[in-house]
Amino acid sequence: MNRAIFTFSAIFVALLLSYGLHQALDVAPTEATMGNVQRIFYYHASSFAVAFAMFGVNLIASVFYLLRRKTSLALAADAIAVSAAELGVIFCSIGLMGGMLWAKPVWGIWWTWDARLTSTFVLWLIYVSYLMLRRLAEGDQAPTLAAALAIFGFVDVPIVYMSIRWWRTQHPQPVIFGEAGQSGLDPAMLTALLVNIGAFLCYGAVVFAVRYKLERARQALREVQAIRSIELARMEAR
Amino acid sequence: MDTVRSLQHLHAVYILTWCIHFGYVLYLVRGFVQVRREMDELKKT
Repeated sequence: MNRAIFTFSAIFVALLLSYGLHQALDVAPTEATMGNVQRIFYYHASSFAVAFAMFGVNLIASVFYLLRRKTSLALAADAIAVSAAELGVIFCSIGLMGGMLWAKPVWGIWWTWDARLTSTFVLWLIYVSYLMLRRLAEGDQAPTLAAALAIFGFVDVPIVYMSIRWWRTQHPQPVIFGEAGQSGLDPAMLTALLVNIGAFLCYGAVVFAVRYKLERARQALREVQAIRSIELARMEAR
Repeated sequence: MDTVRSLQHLHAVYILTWCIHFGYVLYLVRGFVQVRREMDELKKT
């Protein structure tokens, strides 16, 4: 990424996140039943929005990798896939943590095994397994196996999203795309939520670009190391 | 609902969120430094 573009993006994202924070803590009205703790919602929902977006990017890159793994673009697709999965796990972890800290004062418990929470936890486990597979597996097959796991893993994303519509859950019903008249979200709350989702998506995109660049640098390093090893082996053979 | 505890939870979420993100950015910076160092060592040998 060009340094000037990166600097501009970083400043823009910092301003947007600050505006989002102001919207969430100062502008959005206090919820009548839960009080100020409901403001966790703006970070909780935004974190999951980015996590789902990253898992979507991971799916597309994984499918591309499997279809074109003999081409020069495969390495780039693999770098996109691993970068998106790592960021998805970070945002999913933050969403889960925020949810637990929200649940304790509101529900009186940190965790319950309802459909939404359980499917989200399974999603987190799937992508943590994906990252562990990438890190621990040896040989050329690791990216291929990881890509296959990513495709099956993504099946859980729509299940997580639809779980509060399909089953009775402790988790609240949908507030944006719910059935007509059931949302109950104040317009000022909706604005704060959308600003934060936008800010988090922009932040996620910038960090993703940096993580992708790091992965490409690691790939280049591995290539140089492999070439050096072959050269050393040839020299020793003479 | 315990208002003081609720506020503590709210602050904890906002602070922890940015601590995790900041930590991750530091991890990325460390990654770049490590790659640069290993590349330099390879060039020297």
